[in-house]
Amino acid sequence: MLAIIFRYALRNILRTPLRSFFTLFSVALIIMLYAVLASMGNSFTQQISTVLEQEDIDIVVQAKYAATPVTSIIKDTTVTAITHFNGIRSYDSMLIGRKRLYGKSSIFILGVSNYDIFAQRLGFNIIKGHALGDTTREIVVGEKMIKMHGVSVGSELELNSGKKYLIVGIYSSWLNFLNAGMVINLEDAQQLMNKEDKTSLLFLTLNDTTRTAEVIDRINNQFPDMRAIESQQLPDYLGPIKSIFYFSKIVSVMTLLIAVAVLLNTFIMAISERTKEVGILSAIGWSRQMIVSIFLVESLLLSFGGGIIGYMCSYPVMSILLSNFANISMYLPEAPSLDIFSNVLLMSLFIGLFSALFPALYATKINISKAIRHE
Amino acid sequence: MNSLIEVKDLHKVYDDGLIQSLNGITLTLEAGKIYALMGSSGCGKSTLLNLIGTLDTPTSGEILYEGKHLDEVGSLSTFRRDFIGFVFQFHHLIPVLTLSENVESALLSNHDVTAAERRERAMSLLDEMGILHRAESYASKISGGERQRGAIARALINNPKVLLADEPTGNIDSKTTKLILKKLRNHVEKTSGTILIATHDNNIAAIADVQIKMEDGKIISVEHNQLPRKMSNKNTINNPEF
Repeated sequence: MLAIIFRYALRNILRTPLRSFFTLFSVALIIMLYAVLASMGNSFTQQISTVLEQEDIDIVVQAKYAATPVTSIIKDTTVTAITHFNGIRSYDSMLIGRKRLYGKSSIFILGVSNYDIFAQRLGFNIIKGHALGDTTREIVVGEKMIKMHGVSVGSELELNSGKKYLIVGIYSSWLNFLNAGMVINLEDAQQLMNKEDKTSLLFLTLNDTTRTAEVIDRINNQFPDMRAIESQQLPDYLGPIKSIFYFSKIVSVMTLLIAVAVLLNTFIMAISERTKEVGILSAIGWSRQMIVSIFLVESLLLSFGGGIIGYMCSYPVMSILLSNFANISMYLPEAPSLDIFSNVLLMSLFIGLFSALFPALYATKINISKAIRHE
Repeated sequence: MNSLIEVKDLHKVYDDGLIQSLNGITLTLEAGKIYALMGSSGCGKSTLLNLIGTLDTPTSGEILYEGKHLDEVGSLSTFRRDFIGFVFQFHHLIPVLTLSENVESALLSNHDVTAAERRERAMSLLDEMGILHRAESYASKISGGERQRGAIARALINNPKVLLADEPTGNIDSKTTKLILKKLRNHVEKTSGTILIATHDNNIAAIADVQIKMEDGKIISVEHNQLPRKMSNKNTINNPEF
């Protein structure tokens, strides 16, 4: 039975080849957009979350009213006070900023208090030159920065009027967004961004992690302008990550709705044209479920076909985007993840079922004798 | 005689009573007989077939199937599949299915029949109808006569006790008409069933056991043929004697 139903559904798709092609094309296009945009969102949030989960950072402190780490300002006096609390084993601070380079796109600049610790935490691998030392006016840059700006080890970058910085190394990190940035010493960064005696984030490691809540309460009470949180909670407080997270969800829902609308339109037309056929099948003893199953199989073939084609097309599209729009490389991975693929399969299932089910159920409710006379 | 269908005071109106299609039809269809339902276009023949075939519901009146009301027969689609066969005027085969798939389709929901058995029955019927060579052709690619024979094979594959045919020989040649009538007669004899044929064709009326004439939604006469013409079982469409 399944074989005939499958053949029947497949031939129905081929019965109107142009319409089926455009339906498939539309679903593929929508799914491809989803795969690219969701990859972007997922990649960025995952990168941040993974750093915080993997490393031995217990508490993160940032300015309470800062929407993003870039706008967070913690004065050195506050850093000193907090780091003198009992129970704090070590600390690191980071200044994050963006700088437009030679009038081109702006890049991430990380000023770090201890390069070796950060490099270890963020999985930096020096692929050319050497690591950042104590010398000022030196920088290490991400491998994507090299491609974006055509610089190399030994080049000098004029990041501020009259102040040149020597590129001493090129790093590669599994944190994709950092590969499009650069790292300098904290003091250099403070000067570069005119934020002397200030940092953006403070990372604390405790002697005893069972006292995390106690230390957080103490910081928050003593410094009302600061927000201390457990490191795992940081993504929830970071504006861009929250935005990307919600953006990703909105994209998913919109994708679903548009794809359902496209396929629903196709099936309303198909069922309207095949009302007589539905009547004939009912007359020869087909049950309602069997008739509905024909339309469901057709719909699922189109939605899964479109979904898989769309997912596969997202590979070359992401590759083209990465090679032509270097700015987005910090958000966009090389290829969509398997998580996205499983989402695509689930979405295809939902799109297929939802688009055909209601028109098919409606069609099988029509009076059979009227359906047979339908032209 | 064993009555298969009893129609009692059947009325059917359309458009909120503006069109009275059937106006108090009372009729009994007995096992082993072929009935020719005659009358001008619009007299209610097709409506009566549709109501007996459970494709539509009457406005009033009742239809008994082997003495049972429709609400006693269980699943309507299963009842239609097992008890009733339809032959439509314009064959109504599914164009994207092959002829054999079309015939098999009427058995598809019967899980008691294996795929191999279903296939065998379909091929056997197509052979009897002289269109086995067209088994793998799409319904849209064969002639009108072949399609109509395919539609009859589809109607017969379940061995239904009641066969309802709406102008089954309309628009086809006399040779094919004879073959179809022979097959229908054989079916009635084999299954002890009954056939109700809506027709304008006097040749069909001549081979029917009973001629029912309708006018304006009413039965105006019922005539029993004394010697309905029997057709030889040896005849086939390819036999010169046919």
